[in-house]
Amino acid sequence: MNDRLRKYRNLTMMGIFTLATLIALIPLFGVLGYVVKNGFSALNLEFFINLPKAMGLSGGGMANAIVGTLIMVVIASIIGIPIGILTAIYLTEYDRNSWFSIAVRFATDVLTGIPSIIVGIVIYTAVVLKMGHFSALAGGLSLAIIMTPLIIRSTEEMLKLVSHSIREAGYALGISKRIIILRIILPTAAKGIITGAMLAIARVSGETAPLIFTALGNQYWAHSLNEPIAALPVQIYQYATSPYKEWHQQAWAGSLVLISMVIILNLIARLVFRSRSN
Amino acid sequence: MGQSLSVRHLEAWYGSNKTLKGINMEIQPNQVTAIIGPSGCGKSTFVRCINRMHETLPGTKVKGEIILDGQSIYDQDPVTLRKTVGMVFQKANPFPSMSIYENVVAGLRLNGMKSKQKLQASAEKSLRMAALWDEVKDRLNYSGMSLSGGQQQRLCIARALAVEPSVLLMDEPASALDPIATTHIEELIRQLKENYTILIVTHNMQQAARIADSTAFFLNGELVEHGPTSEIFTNPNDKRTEDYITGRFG
Repeated sequence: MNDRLRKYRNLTMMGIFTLATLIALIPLFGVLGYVVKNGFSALNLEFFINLPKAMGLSGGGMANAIVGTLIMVVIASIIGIPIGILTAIYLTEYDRNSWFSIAVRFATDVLTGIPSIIVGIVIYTAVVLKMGHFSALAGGLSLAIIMTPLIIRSTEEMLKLVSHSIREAGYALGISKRIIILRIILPTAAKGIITGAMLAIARVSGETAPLIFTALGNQYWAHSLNEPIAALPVQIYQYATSPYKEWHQQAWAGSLVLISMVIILNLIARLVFRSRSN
Repeated sequence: MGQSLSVRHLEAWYGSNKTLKGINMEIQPNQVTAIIGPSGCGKSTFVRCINRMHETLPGTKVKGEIILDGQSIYDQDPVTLRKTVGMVFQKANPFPSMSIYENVVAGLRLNGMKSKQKLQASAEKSLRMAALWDEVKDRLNYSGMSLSGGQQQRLCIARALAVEPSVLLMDEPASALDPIATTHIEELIRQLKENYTILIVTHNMQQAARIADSTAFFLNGELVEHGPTSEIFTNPNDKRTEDYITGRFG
């Protein structure tokens, strides 16, 4: 009797867990399915190579927005990845437990949780207003600010996974600390660090709010990093909130491109992390 | 050739915990000296003082003198000292990102040796000395992690030998290995003493009896007794040594 009751209870619990999991999956597949359904029909080659066309003309694309997003993500990566990795090295290899490193870690966590629109406002005030114009540089900078704390934390976790015995092995061979970090610890943690960086890139490539304040958006090609520049999420926002049906279609197509970029980055990150040498 | 070590009133701390309470000890060149004693007696700390690894940990302190071949180790740069005093750890710790070959020559290559010929010659010589060459010569480019536990430990020994130290510290090098791998390592230690001064920390008294020329018994941070291995095991001077050897504690 007791046995049957136990089995019955086990089964019920398992049912509850399974159900919760299925419910959690609904939004994911719902969002994906909806974007694919609406975006796929509007997606064609022209979307990737043409500029947006004036209202009423068909065949416009978001080439400038795709390139704009790539440019700003590259700017953000150039700033955010080195600073993030170097800071993480400082925190793990040089200063693990002082009040300063604890403060840095805390600040990093706070920065990770800050709503991105606030980063946008700050860069708007500090950079855009000072320079007198919106720009790819300001946009890239705001993305870098969102990216850096993500990189710091993911890199730090990966460096902490490198066993202390590996560092000691290096010291015991009479190798200097600088070389141990550069030639032993970093290569050991490389896959994890790259994975973390790619996930951070995926995360910022969908950011919209800070770019509205900093890059603004642009219907044409930007000719320098000092002018307003288009970005996919901003373009999606502007098109989706317009009254025109054709623009709505384009917004869906843009969403599909953006979500595909994020998924591909995630997949590559996973492949990198899983790959083994030999 | 191996070099002699002379330890004078060595004291070491972990935070406020004094783990070595004034050790005086003479270590003969080209001999195997075993350090035995119960857990927490300071034997690992002792060998870690000799290549100045102890002081790399935060909150540690060392006092006293260690003379290596007539020169105080505290007058040398620790990074340079560690090229003369090599170390093998309890758990095999090959560099995970490196191949077998790269592991062996890591100490040379990362210290600036570029000549491929010299590196290859050193790799073969060190792997032969560590009795691993025949097992790995056809797969030097495989990851060091692809080897078995005993092979990994011999790889770490080869890596330590490649730097051509004169003293080799071994901190329980066989405690994580099975009996066959342990036999390999012990055989190896016996051969290595021709060229090196060897200090080996061990929990295993039979192991000390098998391989060591002299044995030192540590207890609670003090050196209780140090003498020829046969004497320590058959006719110890101190009651505490006898109690430990006969298994009354520890």
